Amino acid sequence: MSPDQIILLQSALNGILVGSLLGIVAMGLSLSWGILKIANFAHLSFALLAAYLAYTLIVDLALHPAVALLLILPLMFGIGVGVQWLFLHFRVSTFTSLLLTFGLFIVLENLITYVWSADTITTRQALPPALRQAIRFPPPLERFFVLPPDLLAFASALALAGLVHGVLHHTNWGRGVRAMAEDPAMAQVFGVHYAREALLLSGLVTATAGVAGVLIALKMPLYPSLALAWLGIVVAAVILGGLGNPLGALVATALLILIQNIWSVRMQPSWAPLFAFSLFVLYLVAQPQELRRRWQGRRRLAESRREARP
Amino acid sequence: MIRGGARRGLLGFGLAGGLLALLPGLVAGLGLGSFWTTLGFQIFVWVTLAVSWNFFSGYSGYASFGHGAFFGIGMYTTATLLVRGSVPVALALPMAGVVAAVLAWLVGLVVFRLPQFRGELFSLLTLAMTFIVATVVNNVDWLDGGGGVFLREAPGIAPWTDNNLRLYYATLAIALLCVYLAYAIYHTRWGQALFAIRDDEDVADGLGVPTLRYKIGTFALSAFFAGLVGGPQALFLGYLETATAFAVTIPLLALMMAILGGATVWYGPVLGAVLVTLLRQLLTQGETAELNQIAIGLVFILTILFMPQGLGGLIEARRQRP
Amino acid sequence: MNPEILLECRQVRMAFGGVLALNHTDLSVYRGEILGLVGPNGSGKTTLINVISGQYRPTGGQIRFQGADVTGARPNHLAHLGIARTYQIPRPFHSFTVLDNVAMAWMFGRRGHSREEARRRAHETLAFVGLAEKGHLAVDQLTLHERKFLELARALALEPQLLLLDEVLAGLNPAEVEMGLELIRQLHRQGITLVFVEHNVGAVARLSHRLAVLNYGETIAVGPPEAVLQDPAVVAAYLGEEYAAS
Repeated sequence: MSPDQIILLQSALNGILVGSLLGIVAMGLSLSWGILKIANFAHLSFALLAAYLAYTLIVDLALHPAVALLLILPLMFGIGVGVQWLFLHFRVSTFTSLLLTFGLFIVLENLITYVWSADTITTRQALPPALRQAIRFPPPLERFFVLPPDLLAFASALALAGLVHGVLHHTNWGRGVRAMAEDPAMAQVFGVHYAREALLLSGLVTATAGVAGVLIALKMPLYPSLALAWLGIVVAAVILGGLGNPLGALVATALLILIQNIWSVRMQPSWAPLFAFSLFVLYLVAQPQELRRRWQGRRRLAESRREARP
Repeated sequence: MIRGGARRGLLGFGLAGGLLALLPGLVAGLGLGSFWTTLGFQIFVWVTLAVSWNFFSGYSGYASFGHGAFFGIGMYTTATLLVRGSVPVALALPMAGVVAAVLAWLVGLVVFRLPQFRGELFSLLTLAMTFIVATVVNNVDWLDGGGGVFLREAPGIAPWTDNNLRLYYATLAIALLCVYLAYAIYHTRWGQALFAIRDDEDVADGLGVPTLRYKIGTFALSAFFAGLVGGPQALFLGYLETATAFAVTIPLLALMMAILGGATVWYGPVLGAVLVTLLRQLLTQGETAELNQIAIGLVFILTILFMPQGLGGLIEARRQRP
Repeated sequence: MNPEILLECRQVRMAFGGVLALNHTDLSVYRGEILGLVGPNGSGKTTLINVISGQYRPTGGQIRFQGADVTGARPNHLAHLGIARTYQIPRPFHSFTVLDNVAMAWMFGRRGHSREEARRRAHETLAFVGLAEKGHLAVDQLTLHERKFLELARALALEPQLLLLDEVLAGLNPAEVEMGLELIRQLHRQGITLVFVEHNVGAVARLSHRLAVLNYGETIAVGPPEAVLQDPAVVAAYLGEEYAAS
């Protein structure tokens, strides 16, 4: 295999791995947007916040990453519940949630800068050696390697996706939650208590942001505007994968970053961001007529449903 | 063309304009430094951004997150024309507005026909547009190409950068025109059409309102002003780079100012822009820039939750009460 | 009765994803008549109104108005040609006063009046529907029947040739229904052609010159009310096959 091919394949591999990591964030956003009808951009900021918290716990307090995760999860859950409570209390529409979470996004980015400074920081030195050692593939692919945090991220993403899918489609609770998204009033008749389930779901979704955050802290250097850098890919992936379809979001994220990486090998990397956005725009513009009407129908339904929400 | 409703305002605007024009003379006479003309300049820039955003997005309900793209294009068009084209400033500025307007017009032509682009998807699309434009500008050598653009190299810009007086007057004129337009639109059928679109676009369509034309036209006009005011901003900064020119905080701030001040009244964004700009000035003296951003973000969130009609909305409600 | 065909729906199909709401629907409306449009729930009545008024572009078939093909025309164009409609659940503009709601139609309708002129005419239209004193009110301060009449006033302000009424009597008490019927009779006397979608078959039958029945997106019967209501196919559609057979 030529060096070029090796670089290309390694790049593709990295793309899938990093893509799956960001895919965890996209999954959460997809669930939030599709089921709770909250376009929560602060979800990205929560993930970044979790990453920074993980940094402090691992580097400053010398805790093991697993311990850090255990501490961060309940905090994230609490944040998710709190934020959703606000949305419910103020009967916020999807569009208003967009504005609000953007405001929150700005607040959090500045908060992070204020507390941790704008410098780029990394947990690399404080990681247990096992996590820093590159793992090589067995021959004949010994030229390729993965880093443990990437593998961990990939495995976590798959596990979470499987878990989410399993819960949503094969448990009564999951079915109730999906019904709630379609028709809150009807779901209530069947015993689904909207507020309680929404709070629970939001907590769980933000907890996944916590998982993503810890994994991100293990994998890459952190800087405050990282969430902004992810915004394009994550939003594009959520929409391309279908709102409320976590598997779709995961796959879409992985694909987008994979393609972006492959592009960057051959072409000028600085054009790469264009790719995700253009795809996103083209996809939306090219919607066939029936899908258009479904969007239209969804919106009117969502508006009228807000009144019906118990 | 300027019908009754809008004509009444002309006198008021003329007066306001005159007063503001005399201000620098007063300031200089009192021996106060150029800080005040600079502050005035910044206020006029933000007033233009907030007001132009609002007379499209606030009135019609199509919240664009892309105002930064038009502002940025305005900055880069001016810079490119000045540095590489040796175009005189007086010509470069309006051209910046035209380029931005053309982009908006093209986007609108495609997007406003499609029903899926209402509400949050329109906002996201315009945000994506900003990123796309920024990436293109960042990669095309004769625009930015990654290295930034220095305006000091441009011929003929000295009188514009020696002191901020020319910038003050230029942006004052632009802001006045922009606010007057917002006022005129608000008081005529044009504004009624936009508000109807905001309330229920399909019904408005059914009543004979040419919604497509109004949306595209107003969007383009809004973009024109954002682009137009980008020129003075570029001259003020002296150096452009895509990261700061197309920063997402710019459209967000403009949006915040409009909503805080009252998105459904013509003067709302003026209030919002003046207040927030002054607030930001005050806060930068104290602690760090981050705290001031956090404060503004929190105020924005609180406004949306508790006072979505903004200051202007409150004022109008008071006025309606018999 | 004038046999001129004002509106013609030819083999109209309307598909939403997998659902076929209108299945080769044919319907002709004569100028000056009152045509009642009835059918069981889900038969496609409102969808047909939406297609005729331009809100939906039909998947197939043709709509002709005054002899010209208007299939797929935008709603505002159709409004200028003279087609107006009301909504089943009234959709007034909430940030406008009652008067300004009607004024909107005068401003942007067929003749495009100025704001002041539009408001003057709006006042007359409101008087016609009995809402003259309510012009300055906010829309939320109106009762349901007042909102329905506001909806009607707004449609009238377009000076339509064809008025599509989507369940304008639904939710009204008997006295209000009588008021509504009287208004409709007056509109008819003024020469407006009316298509009248209703669930209240009795009311429709009393008022209509002809009755059209839709079922599963198809026209299953058209004709004078008494004949149509006794048509076995119509009875079957509403009450089931066995009842019709008996």
